[in-house]
Amino acid sequence: MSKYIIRRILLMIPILLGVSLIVFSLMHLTPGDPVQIMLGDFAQPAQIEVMRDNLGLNDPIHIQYFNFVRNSLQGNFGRSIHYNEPVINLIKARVGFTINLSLAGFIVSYLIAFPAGIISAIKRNTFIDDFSMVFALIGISMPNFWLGMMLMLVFALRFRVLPATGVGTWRHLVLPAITVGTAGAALATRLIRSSMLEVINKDYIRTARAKGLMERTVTFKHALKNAILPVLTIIGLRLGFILSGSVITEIVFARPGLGRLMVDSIFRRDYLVVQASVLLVAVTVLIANLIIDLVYGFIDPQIRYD
Amino acid sequence: MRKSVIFILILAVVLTSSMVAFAENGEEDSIVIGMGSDGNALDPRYVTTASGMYVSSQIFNGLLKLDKNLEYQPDLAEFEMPSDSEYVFHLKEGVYFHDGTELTAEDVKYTYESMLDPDKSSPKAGNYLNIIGAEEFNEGETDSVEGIEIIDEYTISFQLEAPHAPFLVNMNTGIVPKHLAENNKDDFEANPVGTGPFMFESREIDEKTVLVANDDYFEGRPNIDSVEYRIIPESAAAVIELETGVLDVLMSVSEDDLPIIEDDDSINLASIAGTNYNYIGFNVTNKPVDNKYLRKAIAYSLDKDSIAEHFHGTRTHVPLPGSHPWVEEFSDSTAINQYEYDMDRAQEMLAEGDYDGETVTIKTSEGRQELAQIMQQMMSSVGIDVEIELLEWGTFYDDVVEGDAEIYLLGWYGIIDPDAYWFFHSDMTPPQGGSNRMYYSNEKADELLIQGREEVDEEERKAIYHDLYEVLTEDLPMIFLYSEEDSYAYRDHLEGFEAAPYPVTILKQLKNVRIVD
Repeated sequence: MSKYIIRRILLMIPILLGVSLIVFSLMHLTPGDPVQIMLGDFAQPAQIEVMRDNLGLNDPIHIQYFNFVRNSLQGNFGRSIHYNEPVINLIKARVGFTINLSLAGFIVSYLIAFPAGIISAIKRNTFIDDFSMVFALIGISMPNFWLGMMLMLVFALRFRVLPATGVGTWRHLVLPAITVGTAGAALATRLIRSSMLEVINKDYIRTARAKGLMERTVTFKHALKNAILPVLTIIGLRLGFILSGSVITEIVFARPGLGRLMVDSIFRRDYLVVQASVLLVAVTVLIANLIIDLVYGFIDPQIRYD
Repeated sequence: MRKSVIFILILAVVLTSSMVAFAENGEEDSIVIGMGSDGNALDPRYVTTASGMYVSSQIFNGLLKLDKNLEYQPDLAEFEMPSDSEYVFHLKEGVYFHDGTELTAEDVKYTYESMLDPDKSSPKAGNYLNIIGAEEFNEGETDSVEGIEIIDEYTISFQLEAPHAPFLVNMNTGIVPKHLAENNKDDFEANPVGTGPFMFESREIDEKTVLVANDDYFEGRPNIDSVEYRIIPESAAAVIELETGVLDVLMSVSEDDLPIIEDDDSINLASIAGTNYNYIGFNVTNKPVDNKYLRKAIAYSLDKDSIAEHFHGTRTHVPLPGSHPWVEEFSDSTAINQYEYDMDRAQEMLAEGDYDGETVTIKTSEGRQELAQIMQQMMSSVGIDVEIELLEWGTFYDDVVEGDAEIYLLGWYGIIDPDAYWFFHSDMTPPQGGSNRMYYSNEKADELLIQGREEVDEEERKAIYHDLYEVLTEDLPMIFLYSEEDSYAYRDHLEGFEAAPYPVTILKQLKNVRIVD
């Protein structure tokens, strides 16, 4: 087991190097000069040169990449070209808001998805099933920004019970969480339903019923436990994107999150911010995947780590 | 089952523990201003974005300020001109920075020198290179700028290489305290200290910046106690916040949101002619738009009034060439070809220029995509074959600067002087620095551009710019489309709120705003 974990962690190194190379190349291949964008139209050529020098943008490209990797390993991600603020500070200030929203959205998703998925599987082809599948379809099709604006119109403008934008209290989290959660819920509901349907007709379920177990025990202990593995994979994948998954929602609700920072920085060609954030997201995805792989083993003892 | 109950309980605890009591402070008079994006900096020497300037100019004062009619007024200083190329500023005595130290000529000298200091890479250095010795200092050859001279504690003189009419335009940059700013640029940015009506309190980038009233402001304490600038990128969400009363002021109002704001009785709209214009640029060195007659044909083929009205309804103004409402007194409209919409003239021009149906490409970014489509339609109705190339902003801008474009769509903001040297002079062609992205070169125009900025007498200047516009409308390196009004929305409990054109906006008047019930 510990051997397996160590191997997985070692495997992360080449993956992260690959990610860093790709993001570095993409940013540097994209047309658009950050210094020109930053200094604007009235900048003097000499000034542009000085600033490029200060930022190390005049070094040969492989030296720049090498410096980026070396500094990143030392935890030094440099300064944002646009804000002239250490990248690490910009990211630190935002990570909390993004994780809050992702987790809250995640909870909303599964608070809806588990009951809806299980019930529609058990009550297959009834009105409840149809209803939740239509709900799922709407949830998947509805653009996040539209749902966000509608929630804002109703709860912030019409009834004035919740704030429309900003961060700071749990009340600011409610509408964005519902927005993020709904799309996730739709997918998860369908997945849980089909996963449940697959196991619900298996022999061991019939056996469980035949030996006179209560329906509730059959559903939760025998069916759900076996149906949950594929769901877990999806949960893991979503957890991996906890830092980057809700850009649109962050923009609509004016949340200063990491997703918004990344998108803004791409447009500004703020290389260092983009590179550091992408690396951070990559690390999260890798760790989330590892955790999910480990959790498999606890849920299904047949899975072994060799 | 018990497990799931425990799980739900844990969830409930986690959720409630993150709840923070939401208390509102009703005693202070504070207002909240909504902006679409956050500024890049607050330090006046580094701020380049409009949203940064809104905030920065509350914390700092310049030597001069512009009033809402774009006239120069003394801010920290009065000035006199002993000659056409020398400006002497007399600082007001008894003006204190927020940390209690008095403002002196040393601070002024430091502010301007540090903008020119090559190590400090201030984006504003280019504005001051005509001060004597500024170029040498900027290239690291000298230790100080010869032409900035402290006469006494409260008097400072700026000597220019040659008379330069637009010099005062850049004398409203905020003055920073030398003793705080010279040590560490980053610390100063994190804790900016100026002489302005409001003092810096806190800033969360991309979220909000809070300022509090300066009790000892030299022109009297502001009426309100604090002001918060809140960043709301999505304009529809910002309008909702204005309607719910979370925001008191919204700094820019888009055409789409206008009906909602006009319908709401508790929200007022203040609009004023802007200092901007949208234009169609031609790279005059690239085929096929190197053909002057094709450019003229395009100008005649466009119904500019309809275009302006389509985008901005009545809140627009079709400007005279090279100008907008605020500087158009510098050109005589009756004597300059306006290229009024005329399809027959367009056809004639095409025939004269032997246009043989070559494809013309319009490059644009997303923001002006619709304009490009309208142009395409209008131009093809006179027989010009048009293709649109839609690019992401950074890529588009890079192409235009590097000369890889035929027709491109851009705009200018914050033009407060008719000086157009940066845009049309052949020395200002990239990559030498400057914004002559038309790659336009005409000796006569070059000469007039230099004369225009060296002539200090206003009437003489008007004559020069009139001649210049004649040359420009004949060569037509760009077509001037329209100028938009600047609009601000504010709740009706604010009194003393006045609109002013960008970059003045509501900056200096904010101190006079009060809240009435």
